[in-house]
Amino acid sequence: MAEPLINIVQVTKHYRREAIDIPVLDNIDLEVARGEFLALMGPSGSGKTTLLNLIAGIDKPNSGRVVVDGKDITRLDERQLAKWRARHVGFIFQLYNLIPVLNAFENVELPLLLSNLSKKNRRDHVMTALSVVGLEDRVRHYPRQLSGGQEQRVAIARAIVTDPSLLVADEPTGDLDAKSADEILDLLKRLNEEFHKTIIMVTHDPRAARHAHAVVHLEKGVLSKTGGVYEVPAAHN
Amino acid sequence: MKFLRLITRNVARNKRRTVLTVLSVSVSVFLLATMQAVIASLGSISQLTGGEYRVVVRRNTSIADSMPEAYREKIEQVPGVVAAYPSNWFGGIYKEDKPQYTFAQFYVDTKSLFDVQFELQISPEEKAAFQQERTAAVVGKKLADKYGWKLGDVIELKGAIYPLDPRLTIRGIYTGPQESVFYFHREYVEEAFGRPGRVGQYRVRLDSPASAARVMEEIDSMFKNSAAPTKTETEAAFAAGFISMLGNVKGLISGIGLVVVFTITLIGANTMAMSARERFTEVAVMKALGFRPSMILTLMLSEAVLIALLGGVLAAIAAKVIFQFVGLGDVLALFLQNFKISTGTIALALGASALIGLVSGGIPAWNASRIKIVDGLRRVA
Repeated sequence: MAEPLINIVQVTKHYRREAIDIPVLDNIDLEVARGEFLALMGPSGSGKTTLLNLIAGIDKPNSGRVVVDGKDITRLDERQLAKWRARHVGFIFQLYNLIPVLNAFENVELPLLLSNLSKKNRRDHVMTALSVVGLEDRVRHYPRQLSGGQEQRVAIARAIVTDPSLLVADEPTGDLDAKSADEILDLLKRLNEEFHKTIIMVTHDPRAARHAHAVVHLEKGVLSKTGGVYEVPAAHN
Repeated sequence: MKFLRLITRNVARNKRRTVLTVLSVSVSVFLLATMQAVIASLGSISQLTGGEYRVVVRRNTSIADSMPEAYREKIEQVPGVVAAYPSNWFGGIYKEDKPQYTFAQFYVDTKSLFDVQFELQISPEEKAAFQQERTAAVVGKKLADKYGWKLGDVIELKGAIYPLDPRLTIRGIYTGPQESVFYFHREYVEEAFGRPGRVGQYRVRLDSPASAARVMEEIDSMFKNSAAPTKTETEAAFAAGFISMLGNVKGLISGIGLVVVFTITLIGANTMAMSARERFTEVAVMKALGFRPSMILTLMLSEAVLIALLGGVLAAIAAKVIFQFVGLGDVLALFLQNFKISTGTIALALGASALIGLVSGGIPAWNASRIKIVDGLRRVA
């Protein structure tokens, strides 16, 4: 196995709702190699999204460590985490979550507003990202003027514009028709293969999971095979 | 600056709501600016140039009661008094009994008028013409400009207090800090009524402001045991007393202003809270992308302040146009002759609107900045 980018060590997560503890993740151990394209599968409520959130630094475990690129992100405070996410993580959501009052260019530019890049440099980065997803001719279009597949491509451009090492995608094709879903999955695969992005994708869809190098199953907060041993689809062997 | 576009786009997100919010802020700030201008105008009455050199003698019972004409000679003999003139409020109707035709009219002793009201500027020729002709009048330039009067014009007044309709010819136009008063001959009215010899007030010029306290005391002591005891005040105190007849106007106006601003702040807070709630997920996404809570707070507060400031600017423009150029201030002309929307009033209007924005946006912006990312994202899913 290649050098791990992500190392999850004995992570436990539970939520408290109306004085009742609801266990979500139970003593999870997982390693994800740099450049990996990993699919997280499992039934609803199995903890897939929670695990993804922990890896992306938008939630914290109750115990255990999440080490990404050598940094234990569970030790970072909110301010440090925000800075770390801006630099290292690209987010892709099921419902795209573009800002409706900003056009495609401005949506993609949004993460760059947190950097010290000049206006010209920001523009160059945005146009590069939009050309990677094939939407350089839609820069002035607002989300409402785009199809679902195009919106998701804008969201992917926003995710890669800061050139993060890690992309996290939560059901990225969950709201798309089959054709658009295939286009998005091909794009993710291309980002993984050409641009060497490490991708972790939560999905319900076995067809989507087939695009990944490896699949991890979660069942009631427990990995079906732990210790970084993946059930790798035959196509990748 | 790079966040400006994000702020303006969010402000324009729901145009109808933004327009209504801007209008509601502008109406309240317009009222506040008007009230502030009224307060400033009331204050300016007692700060007219030259007032520190004058005292006003009136009956101790009321300014509506009169004094004998003979008081003048005694007043002028008090050490420190340079000159004095008797003055009575005429209160006639010009054209129609409407606020736009209402202005201050006094019949006075024309010989001493300009010695006592020394800050009024008039050419020697016009002054002489005024003093020599019993049916002559002088008017302030502002008043003349308002009605388009010029030298030689005949002004007809219809007596509302006195049964007398004088026809007066404008022989002079004076300039000075107070240009809205119409003066004519005491002799004209006295003769018409068979010389009753009653005086509403004496305006008294002093040799020095330092003499005021002593002169006032001496004058009042002199008439203390007469049939018409006096009350002598500085011109500023007299004006303030005149205003105080209206009750605690300033307090009332300030109170109304604060209530209006407070109410609109609550409405603004509700609007901002609504806007923040609608963007719960967006805020969560922005935080996931790396926006810190302090940045979310700043951005949302900026939106609230921008909306409120737009209302403030609209209010300031409306107040300036309505009261200065359109001239609706004439309605208030009788007591508020220096009524104007000053730079200070505009600054107050803008400051108040910024404050409305900050306060109304404060709690919604704070709450938005504290949103947990996972909660915001879960709401979508």
